[in-house]
Amino acid sequence: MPTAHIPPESDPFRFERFKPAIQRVETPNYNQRTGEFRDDLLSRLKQSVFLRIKYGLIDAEEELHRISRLEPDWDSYGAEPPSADAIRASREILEELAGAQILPSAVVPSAGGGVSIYFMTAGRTVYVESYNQGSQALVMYDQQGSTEVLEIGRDILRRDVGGKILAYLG
Amino acid sequence: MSCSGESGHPRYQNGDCEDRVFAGGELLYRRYREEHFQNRQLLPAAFKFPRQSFNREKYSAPEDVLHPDCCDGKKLNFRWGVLECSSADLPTPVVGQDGKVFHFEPIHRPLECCYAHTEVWCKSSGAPVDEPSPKVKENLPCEACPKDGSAHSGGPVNYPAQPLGWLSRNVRAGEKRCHFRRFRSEPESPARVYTST
Repeated sequence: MPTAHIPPESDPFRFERFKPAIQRVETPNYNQRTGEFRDDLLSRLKQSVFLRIKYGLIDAEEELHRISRLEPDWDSYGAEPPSADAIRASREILEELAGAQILPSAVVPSAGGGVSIYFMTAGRTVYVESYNQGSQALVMYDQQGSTEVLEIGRDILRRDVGGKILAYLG
Repeated sequence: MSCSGESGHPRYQNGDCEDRVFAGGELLYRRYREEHFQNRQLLPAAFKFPRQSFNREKYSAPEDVLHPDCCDGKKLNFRWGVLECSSADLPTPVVGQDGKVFHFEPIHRPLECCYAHTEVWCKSSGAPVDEPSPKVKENLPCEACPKDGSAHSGGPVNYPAQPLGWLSRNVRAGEKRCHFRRFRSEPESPARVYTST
């Protein structure tokens, strides 16, 4: 009478069957392949940040374009439309900040005449106000009521605006 | 401008003089564009310094500020909200960075088709201030805001601010003094909702 062929208790599932496959993974190429995979992942990540900034900037510029076509009295309280200077200054700020990987939360026309570019976190807000008259201000405030106002070009250089925003918003 | 004469229109002037008395706590209403409501706060960009227009509660319903008669005959064609604030909470006086003192007060400025029209004026040494420097303009609200966080608790109103900050900050903090009335409601919106007609 034939006896049943029972695998040894130490290896009831006969993992030896998979040994060739496991060994194949552990070839000398393994580290190289892992490295390639890591590089590829990092490259895609960088590309993703690049695209996020790129598309974010496109969205912001579209918003700016819409704002540039506002008519007088756009807020129904007699507000002036943003001037060409204010639009141009805002565009330049947007591009500079995008270079520092900072995207705005909102780009809106200002009832006082100009364009406001907002950057917000849960408790803090920063905005860059480009006035129709040509000047610009950086305003930072939090929910506790502390506010700092800097005139760009006088109190802070424009190239330092991005760093200041990042430092304030954390 | 000729008034609409529609039924339910805002109160017209009809030759009535201005009413200089603002009862304690009388509300002021102002419309805002929805794009100025972001991240659960009304952005300072929604306000113009200084003579901001409002409708006063005594002669106006909140939704009157959206009526063409109170918009120089203009029909509003997209989403707007209405903000209400108490005139008793006008932040005054405010001391600017240079020590200059600013006062804010509601001035009833009736219009032919919108009797409730009111402006909040900023004055210094009795004279209206219309064009402060950007630094003063943007910084006044900050000078005003409480540093102890009482704005969040809805505690006693005892801090100076210029209307810009007075409005946007109170709304941001969700206090009782200012509420939103929006066309499109949001669950977190603290106030009633009006529909655009």
